Amino acid sequence: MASRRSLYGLDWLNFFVANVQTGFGPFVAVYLTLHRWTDLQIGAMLSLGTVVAMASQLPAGALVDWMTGKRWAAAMAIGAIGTAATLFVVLPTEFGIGLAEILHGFASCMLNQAIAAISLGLVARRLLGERLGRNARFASLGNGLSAAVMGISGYYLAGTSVFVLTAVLAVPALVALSTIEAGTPAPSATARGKPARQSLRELGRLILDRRLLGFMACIAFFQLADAAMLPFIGNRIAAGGGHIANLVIGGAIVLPQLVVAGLSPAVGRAAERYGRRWVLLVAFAAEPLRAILFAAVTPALALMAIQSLDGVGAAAIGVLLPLIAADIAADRGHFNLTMGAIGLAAGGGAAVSTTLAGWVDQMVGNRAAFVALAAAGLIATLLVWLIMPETGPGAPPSAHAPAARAGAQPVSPSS
Amino acid sequence: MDSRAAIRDRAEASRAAGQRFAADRRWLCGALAALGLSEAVGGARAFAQATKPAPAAKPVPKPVPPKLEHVQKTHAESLLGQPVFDARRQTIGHIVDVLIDTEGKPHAAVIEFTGFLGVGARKIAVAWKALHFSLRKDHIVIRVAMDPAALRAMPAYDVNAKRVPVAAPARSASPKSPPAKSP
Repeated sequence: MASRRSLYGLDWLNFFVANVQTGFGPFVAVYLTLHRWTDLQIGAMLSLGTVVAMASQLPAGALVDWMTGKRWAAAMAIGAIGTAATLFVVLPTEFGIGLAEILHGFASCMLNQAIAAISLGLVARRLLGERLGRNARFASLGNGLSAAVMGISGYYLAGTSVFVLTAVLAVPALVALSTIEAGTPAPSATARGKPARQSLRELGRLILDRRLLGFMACIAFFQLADAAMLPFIGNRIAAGGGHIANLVIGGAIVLPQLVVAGLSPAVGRAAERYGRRWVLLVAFAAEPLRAILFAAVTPALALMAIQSLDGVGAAAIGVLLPLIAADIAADRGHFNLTMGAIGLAAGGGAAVSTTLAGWVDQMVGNRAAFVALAAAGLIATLLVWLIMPETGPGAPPSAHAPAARAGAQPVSPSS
Repeated sequence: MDSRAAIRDRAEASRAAGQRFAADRRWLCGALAALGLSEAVGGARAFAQATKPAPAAKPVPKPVPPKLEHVQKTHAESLLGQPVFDARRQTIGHIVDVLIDTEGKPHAAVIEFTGFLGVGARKIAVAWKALHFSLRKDHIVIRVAMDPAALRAMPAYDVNAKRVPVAAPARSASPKSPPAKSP
């Protein structure tokens, strides 16, 4: 079993990686504005980032599956993201930022997957839910804290400070990674991932797995409902929040992270005890509720409070995405490729979300946009109810994976 | 293959010829015609560029040559990305675009209110006459004398919209000039 040192290392790895990722978000647009980029250029660069992130999901998954040293995969990815942040500081030209966006897009996918694979290699299968809950807790603590620090430093100091901080934080992330022991036997049945020989047929079966397709559909609709909500609500708080608007927006970013930090381990345990499906159902149902409340409520502080409901869905996704991928991969192998496929569906939903909400906003109005998002959230919840099978080890063996359960006993770090 | 070699030969020949008879205009025209055929041949490109301006200058009436003048930075400063301050000298946002009228005169500046880490960023068009420019330490400082919170609550600027909402000062500027209207 993995040593305590390794597990603490993994905690801090999640924390610092989340730190590093915070700067790359909506802030990029502000940063480029400060460098006199026009809207057209900024838009093109952001689209480039989105396209790269989407296109990278499957290749990054396949790459991490193929690499035997998952820690190396993580180290390379952290290095690449640190480099991207450095490029933002030293070379804010179209070439530099374009390169940074490409590096960051691919490396993020890879890092996400490598951390999940490392976690999978460290704990027994039945403890995986709790471990992933811990991952999500430390990640959201990192996110919340660095959002607060960077938001304030970007506000009072030059915008550059955000990316300097980002690049510097790659160092403790690497240190944390290095404390995860080398001897940790990596990736067991699940992440061993290479049923090799007839791998093409295996891949075909993986792609047609009902659990994978079902979860992809659920998460695509969930993201369709989720992704546009923060920017839209941020805009509304900005307009109506008076002199403390920015503070309230900061709260709307940080509060949900605290909720995730509080909930995640419980989500992980609940997923092991009651099954993935029930947790998904409850968490997804919070999404349409949040959207409807947004449509109904106006005061800025109330909006901020409602936004903390986002933490419920975020905790569920943070824990269950890798957990369900591990369930599926227990039978089929290709753990990271499975995660990549789910990530692709999530990214697709998110990419459409802002466009859809923006369109409804223009055609009908702001409240209607939230009603549309609520509808998407409701569809996601119904999809979980109707088509998502239970994937956990406790589930009755599904017709689609008869031999599955054999491989599902605690995946002890064999050898 | 053969024809390309032939073209290259011709180009080589014409380049040599061009060097020898650069002064002779008729020869030059001949060489140029040959070069027109072999534009793609890399070796000839430098020569083509070197000779191109000569015929171009002939038929067109002579344009007025530009005059170089050096201006103080305080008389010609870049506007995009400049911070905008409120009455209490707090940064409220940055100028991201300038909207002009048919005469090319600036009508409004688009100011982006940053939000928190980029969330809640809003672009608001503010009437040009609401901006006050002053000089501080070799630097043009832009100030807008409107309540920043009220300004940020204005309808956001949208490039694609037919009508542009422009925030204009309500009381102070109205005696002098009528408030800005949407086109």
